Amino acid sequence: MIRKPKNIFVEGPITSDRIATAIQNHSTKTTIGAHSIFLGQIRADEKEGSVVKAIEYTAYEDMALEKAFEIREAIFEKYPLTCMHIYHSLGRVHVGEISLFVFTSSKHRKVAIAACEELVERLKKELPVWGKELLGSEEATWKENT
Amino acid sequence: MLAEKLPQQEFEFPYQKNSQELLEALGKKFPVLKDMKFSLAVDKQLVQENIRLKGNEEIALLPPFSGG
Repeated sequence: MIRKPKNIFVEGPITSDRIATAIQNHSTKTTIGAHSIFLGQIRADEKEGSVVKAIEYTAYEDMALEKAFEIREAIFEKYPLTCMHIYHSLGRVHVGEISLFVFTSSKHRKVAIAACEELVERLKKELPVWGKELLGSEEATWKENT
Repeated sequence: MLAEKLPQQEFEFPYQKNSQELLEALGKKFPVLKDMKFSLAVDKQLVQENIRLKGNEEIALLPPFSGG
């Protein structure tokens, strides 16, 4: 069976509803003993005498989905995971809202936590996604991952 | 950020036989690129070394990523 890249993009912020539903959906998978969840939240950084109000996300979507798929396969290969889910926002996400939701599930906690961390690091480094920080003064500046 | 500096977001560019020559030709046509940090993707794959081009590839100039 050839597996196709799954969509990871969500328009606007990732709601607590979506996160709750994702957790709920795993209650029937009874081999799981541990979930690890990473949530990226928009921070009100001070920039150029102003404060970040929101981030506007854009992506080179086709490449990002191929890349996410490649990373996903590599992490599944490396760790004995039961499940892995990735959601990333596109468009505008305001301060305090969630723009990245990464969810790994395994029999035991150490695997789930290690896989989640590696997945987040790789996504931030390798996905062609860009966040434009929108400032209070109507100006904008492009952010850069470190 | 890059797209904001170029006249068009998407365009056709004359054939160059490899990725190094493509970068040089792009730099000549759009001098603003010289001051910008970006990487090159050919058919959705990042290109680190000089690769041969056929002429129908999808080329993308990618500024530093900032997702998450």
